[in-house]
Amino acid sequence: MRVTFPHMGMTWVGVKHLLAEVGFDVVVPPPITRATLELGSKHSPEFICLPFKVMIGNYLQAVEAGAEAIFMLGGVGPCRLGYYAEVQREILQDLGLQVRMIVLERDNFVGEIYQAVKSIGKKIAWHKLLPLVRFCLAKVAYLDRLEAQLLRERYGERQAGSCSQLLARAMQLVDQASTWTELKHVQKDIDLHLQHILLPAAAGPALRIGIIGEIYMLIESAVNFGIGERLGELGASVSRNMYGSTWVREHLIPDWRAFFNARRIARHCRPYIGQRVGGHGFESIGYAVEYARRGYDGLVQVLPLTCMPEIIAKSILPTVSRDWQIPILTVTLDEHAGEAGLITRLEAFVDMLLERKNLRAGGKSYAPSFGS
Amino acid sequence: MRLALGVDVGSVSTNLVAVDEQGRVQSKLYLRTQGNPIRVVQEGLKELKATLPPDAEIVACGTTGSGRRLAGHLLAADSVKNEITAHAMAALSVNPQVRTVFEIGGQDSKIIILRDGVVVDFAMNTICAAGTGSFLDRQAARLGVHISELGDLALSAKQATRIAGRCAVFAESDMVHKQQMGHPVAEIVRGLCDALVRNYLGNVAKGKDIEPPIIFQGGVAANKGIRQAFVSALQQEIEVPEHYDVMGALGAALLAERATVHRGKASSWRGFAVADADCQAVSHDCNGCSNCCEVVEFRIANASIACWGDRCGKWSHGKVAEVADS
Amino acid sequence: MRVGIPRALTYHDYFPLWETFFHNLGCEVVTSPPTTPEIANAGVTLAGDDVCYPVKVMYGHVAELANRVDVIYVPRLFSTAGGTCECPKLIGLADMLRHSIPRLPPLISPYVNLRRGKRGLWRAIYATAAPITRNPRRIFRAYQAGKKELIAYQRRYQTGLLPNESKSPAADKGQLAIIGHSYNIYDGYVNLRLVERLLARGYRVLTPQMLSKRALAEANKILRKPLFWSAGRTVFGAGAYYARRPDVAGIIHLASFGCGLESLLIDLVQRVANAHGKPLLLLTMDEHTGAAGVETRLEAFLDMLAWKEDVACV
Repeated sequence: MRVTFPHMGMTWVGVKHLLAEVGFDVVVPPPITRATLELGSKHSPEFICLPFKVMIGNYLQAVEAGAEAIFMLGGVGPCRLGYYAEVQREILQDLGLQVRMIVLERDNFVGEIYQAVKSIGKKIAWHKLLPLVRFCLAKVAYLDRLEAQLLRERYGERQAGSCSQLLARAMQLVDQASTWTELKHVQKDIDLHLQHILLPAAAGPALRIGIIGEIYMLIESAVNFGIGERLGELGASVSRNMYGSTWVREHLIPDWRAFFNARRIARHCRPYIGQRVGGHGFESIGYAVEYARRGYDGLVQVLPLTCMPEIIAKSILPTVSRDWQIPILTVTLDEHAGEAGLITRLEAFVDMLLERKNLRAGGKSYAPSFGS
Repeated sequence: MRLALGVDVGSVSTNLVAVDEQGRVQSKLYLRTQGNPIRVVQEGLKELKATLPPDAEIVACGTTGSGRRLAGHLLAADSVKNEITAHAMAALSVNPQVRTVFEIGGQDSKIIILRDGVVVDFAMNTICAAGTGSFLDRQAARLGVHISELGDLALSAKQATRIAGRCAVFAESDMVHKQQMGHPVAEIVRGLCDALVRNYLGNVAKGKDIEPPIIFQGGVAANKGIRQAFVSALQQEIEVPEHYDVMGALGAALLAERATVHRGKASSWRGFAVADADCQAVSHDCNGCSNCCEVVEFRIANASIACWGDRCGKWSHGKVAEVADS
Repeated sequence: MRVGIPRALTYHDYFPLWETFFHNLGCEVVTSPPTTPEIANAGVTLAGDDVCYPVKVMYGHVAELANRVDVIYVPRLFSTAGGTCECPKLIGLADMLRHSIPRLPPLISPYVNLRRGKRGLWRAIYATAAPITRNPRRIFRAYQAGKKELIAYQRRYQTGLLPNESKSPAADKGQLAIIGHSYNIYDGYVNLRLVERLLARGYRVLTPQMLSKRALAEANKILRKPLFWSAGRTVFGAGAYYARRPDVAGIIHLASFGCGLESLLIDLVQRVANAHGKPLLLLTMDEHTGAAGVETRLEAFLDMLAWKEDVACV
């Protein structure tokens, strides 16, 4: 059985490895492009959020490439993600596609996978499963760490674009790595390159900007127009609160660091929001405070249009902005969003933060200097 | 005479401004872009040169607007800045105490909030046309009123017809409906002005602290009806600067001046000769990776000057030569 | 103590309970008036542009109460029945209001999570009463009285009567089902008097609240995975139930613009209506919707129904 799954940032590297190792023939959906987005929007409900539409695009393109079954996450919670799969199944059926949807619900995660593997006449080697999952997670986690580092240090690249190229290369290499040793080699190789493309960190970044918001929009740079990269190119050191492995660490594999981190973030939220609201609306507020405490210069919130949890965060963030004196730019994206407008806003935001910082450091305002 | 040149290439109009060392506008041009920014800038340069005194010397050159990169490469500009910063700069040069800037142009509208001479917040509409000049243009045409008469006509109305609708299309159908019900044109026009201001305040300016002094600039600021609608909606004085229609270009010139003269650097600009050069922009889809970027290559006299539009930097850095070969 | 209750959102589902509860605790209960243009406009101005229309209206109601009460009751509804949850906006509503409306009196905003069963319920009840009294017996009695009222109110619906009807009107044209959130169906300003328009034309109006819990649960079974929003279950269940009923001429789905849940429900209801060949009219409401447009669509829909009937008779 040829199986596929929706894209979500760089997680495909791990998911592909996992599914291939348990015995499936894996079709990775073609990378997300404008065409994916258009295809997905055409067949999706009009007012659903953007990730749904992109996923439909993924499925259709993967089915075209020969996929016969789709792995998708389920879930129960205020966010719509938990019900995506049900509606997506109907949509694919209406299109007359012979494709099976395997929905992994949280209470029956392993069971579903077991059933699927059994249906292709294979067996899971249970004793090998845990090490396998750990390895897949390590792959994604390494890419996430690399991306985080590149976001932080992109402002210092010798040549614009080289960091993004390196990440693309790392993704390829990690994808090919099938043992721990190979993965270590890849890491060494990439670290070596990294030293070449980055200037020695002498001056430090002009600005530090935090990116918060809805996880899919944050980690899928194909739909967020590469906001993090662009801010880096404008000279900012960028931190982001969500990565592909974040979700796994939160939900699937217990991790003490993640636990304490989550507790700290929840404490930050206390003055602003009383309880979780589904999705990552709560985290958006918590991390806004976190970044403000760490002295960041500005924040960018990214959300898909009609995203319910992030809209709540959005209406509370102005208070955070006022309390902590930190400007926040909210970017709402849907399939009609234009790149030009976004870039103009990002550039203006960076200009604004620079002037602000300059003024705070005792510099002169940028009022025209003619005549003086 | 030492001058700074500012060029604002928007999707509807292209403006050029020459500013002297006291920040006074010596010459300005307002042209229609008509889908060909390169030619319009070149022709604008020729026209501008003719209006300048013979001893004029361009010591700084800046570009802004959606075509800022293209124009920047064409002129080898000293500063290439986004329109928000440029408009804020221009507004500050008119009134250093300004705290709020409304800018309504042909395709987009912005609000910029400044405190103590620094931008602290801004917003711009990117999706909807209901708060922009082209909406007004279109409706004026539909009512058979020339756009320049729209303002006076609106002021002549004793009351306004309420035009509903957030979206340009709905507003249009509502307007037609009101016309069919026999409302006089003047009242509809005034209603239209109110609707545009309501949309602007409800969408672009939503949640912003609008404080005086307020400067209203951009092409739509010419319209007295809109000005009046703003005044009555906000109950505050609104200042429209003398060169309201070319503020973006003015800001670009001032920013360029800051980047060169102020820092003791020489300008990198190509000179007026570029107006006669053979310039072209060629675009193609890059198939190097999954991003499928649309790469634009800019050439002067068949020599590749710059590439942009790629995410990875393959074209915009170093590999320009290969592009020229292909 | 004067307790303000905004007449918006879940008010329409729970007001007998809330009002009786606070009344029995010795509070003066002040309910905001039915939505007026002023209230709606104030809400639209106060709320962010991407929240849905009903939440904007809620802002207006809260603002209307702000100056004349001591506290305002806005519960944080996480879950109102086991295994379900509510829309994120209902969960975060109290916080959104607190950060968006200036000079707001304190909010009584208990966290209601009935996924935790009885414990969750009692916690919510005590938290509600906490600013007034901590006497468990008084609280319990007040709750009992409120619950009784609520059940009576729900029973009345199930006899097929609308809130302001004393007996079933003569329905010569047949029955129409309106499905959607209760705050859309029972707020005449928000739905541009849709119910009245239908009644005036001689139709009998059925709503999701007229169905028993069991009927709704039964209708929901056609989904492979149950919806986990309780409002979603009500809306979809009613849609699926009425779609199967031969004595219902058509279904009107009343949705609000910008509603996250509806983005899925519209699709699901459409499918179930198609499957049963039941005529369906979708009306999406927000502050920009004009009465003329609704009237046109409604008229066309009703004409279509009448036409269909004529053809069937021949």
